[in-house]
Amino acid sequence: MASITFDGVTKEFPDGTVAVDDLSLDVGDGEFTVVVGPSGSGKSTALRMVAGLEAATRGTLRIGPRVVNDVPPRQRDIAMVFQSYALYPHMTVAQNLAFALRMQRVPKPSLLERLARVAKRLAIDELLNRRPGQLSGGQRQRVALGRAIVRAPQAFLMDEPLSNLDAKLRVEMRAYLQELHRELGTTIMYVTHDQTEALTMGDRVAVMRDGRLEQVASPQELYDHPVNLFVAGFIGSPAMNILRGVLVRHDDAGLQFRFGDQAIALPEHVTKTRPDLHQHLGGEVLLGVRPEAIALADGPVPPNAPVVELPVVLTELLGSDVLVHVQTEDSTLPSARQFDAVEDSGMSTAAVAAKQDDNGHGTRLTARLPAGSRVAVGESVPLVMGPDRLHFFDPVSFEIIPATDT
Amino acid sequence: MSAVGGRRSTRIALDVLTWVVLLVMLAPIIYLLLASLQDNLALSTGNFELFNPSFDGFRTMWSRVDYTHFLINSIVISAGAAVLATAFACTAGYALARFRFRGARPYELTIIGTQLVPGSMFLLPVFLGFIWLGKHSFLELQDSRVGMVIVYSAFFTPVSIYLMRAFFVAVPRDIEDAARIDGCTHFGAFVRVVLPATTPGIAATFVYSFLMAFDEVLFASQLTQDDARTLPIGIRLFVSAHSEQYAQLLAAGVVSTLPIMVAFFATQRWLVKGLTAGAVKG
Repeated sequence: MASITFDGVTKEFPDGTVAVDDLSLDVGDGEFTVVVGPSGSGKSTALRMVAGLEAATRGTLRIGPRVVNDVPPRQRDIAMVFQSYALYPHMTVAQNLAFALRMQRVPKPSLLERLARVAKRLAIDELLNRRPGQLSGGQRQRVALGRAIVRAPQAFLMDEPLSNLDAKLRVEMRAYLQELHRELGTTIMYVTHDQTEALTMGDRVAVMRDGRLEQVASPQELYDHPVNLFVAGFIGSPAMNILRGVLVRHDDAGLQFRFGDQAIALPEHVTKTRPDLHQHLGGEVLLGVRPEAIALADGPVPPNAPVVELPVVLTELLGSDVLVHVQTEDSTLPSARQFDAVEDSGMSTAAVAAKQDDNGHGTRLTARLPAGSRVAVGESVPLVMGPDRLHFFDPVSFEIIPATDT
Repeated sequence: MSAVGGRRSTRIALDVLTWVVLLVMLAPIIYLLLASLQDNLALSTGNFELFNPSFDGFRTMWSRVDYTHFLINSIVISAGAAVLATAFACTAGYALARFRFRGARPYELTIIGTQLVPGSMFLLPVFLGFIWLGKHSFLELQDSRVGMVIVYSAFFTPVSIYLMRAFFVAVPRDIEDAARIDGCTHFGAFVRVVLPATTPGIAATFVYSFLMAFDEVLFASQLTQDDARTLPIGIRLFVSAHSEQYAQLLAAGVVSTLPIMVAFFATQRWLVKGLTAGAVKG
């Protein structure tokens, strides 16, 4: 087993496209690191550089202590699982599994023993004489995994290995892969565009966009403390609500965040722990709040709690929860142009679209409430935001306005 | 007549037309088969005895002319040319399918462009070239199997390249990458994974060049005399100034057609695939 270290690695293609830009990332020995990002973020290119299928233009790439920039793929002692599975179509399952071992000239008894063990572990021992064309998607997936595992490599590289499976199988395989990782303890670098996979599977998650690394952290840290608007919008489903508003001093009581026809009081400790917030006083700021950080205020709320009262435009029952979409009557602030800027910042289009109705009027907010909450479309509901779960972003740089105590 | 009835009768008419066209196309072959089962007398009078077939032609054709010699020549020359053409097509087709090298497009167009020039245009240059080489070097290509293999492989390589390119394009790049990670060099991945994955394509390409070489008449008639004479030329000897062995000629025709028919039907599925894939993606 070995760690994988990117040190200022850049990949520039001959046509001038910079796929990976000055990436520094450390995948610890035995760690399950997920690299997540939208398509075109350079995550697959980064992985292919580790495999040796692409050469780094600049920077140093290490597997363990060894610099591998100029090492051909076959000498890197890593195994890769492809999205397309990439099974050898003319070979049986057994031959597919044995291929790498045969290339390494592993003696036959040992080869057969390893093959049998892996086949049994992955429950593909019944399929050994079939060809890939005769297997179902899930079976092919397991053979592809088996082909990687049987080699007992330094590290596994996985390039969206689950995205060709149907939803149910994907959830199963997610748990299965984590189990395998616990069992084998081998370093895994896993690339996906699916933030759910990233959150559920990774020991650590690296978020990439446009070839750059945005944030590396544990899933919880990433979810609770995104460093910028992009990470905030990309991680979590439904996406974090982003409100563009103005920060004003209300009275002695403290600061207020105003958007549309609404004004939210900000408790003192929220503003106190964010000294930089005061620089935005009188100006614009972006407020982020996750759908589950919003609750129905059906009892008395503490004074100065961030409360909005808005009409419900749509409810979506998820079973245990209900997603409640509320909308401001009118908003002059989040103009279409400003939202373009939010989109430019890399927030997914869906997340942005969810914030505006079709006409671009009003600001939409999504709250995740317990199923059975008494809300009806058309009625106004009072919603209270968890004061400790508010995120503020600079409206120009889209960076987080950090809180000191977290 | 109702609209439905009209459509129905149109369909039947089209079906009948299809069968008629097919019959016209198959007529020579049917005639060949039926006529080969008649004796010379029936053939000369035209009174075919369809229910009393004679196998005389098949029996005697082997001794009349050196049919076996021609058959061996044809097989050796066609197989040699097909092996070479397929081998060139594998490497060149792979390069065209995978590598984006400078001049790839002109190279491709040139390959196809060679097919625009009528093959017969090359006859005189090749003929004179062979004679010149025979005079000025040790290369005796005139009336030799090697000469014919060279000519045919040169002729059928371009289309073979085109065919193989289409098959290589269809091989996912991922399996090559997987092979390289699994311990192969780039060339090793080509030999161990890509080539085996295109076996049907290789078979189809081989059969294509084999058929073309097997059927070729013009060059064979001018470049061979005795040593390298191939079947299409050889079977004309059944009919000469001194004797007219039509039964044997027809029987030889049937025997000559059989192997290539078998080869064609065994691989026609892939042949069609290779040609259409090239057409769609080209």
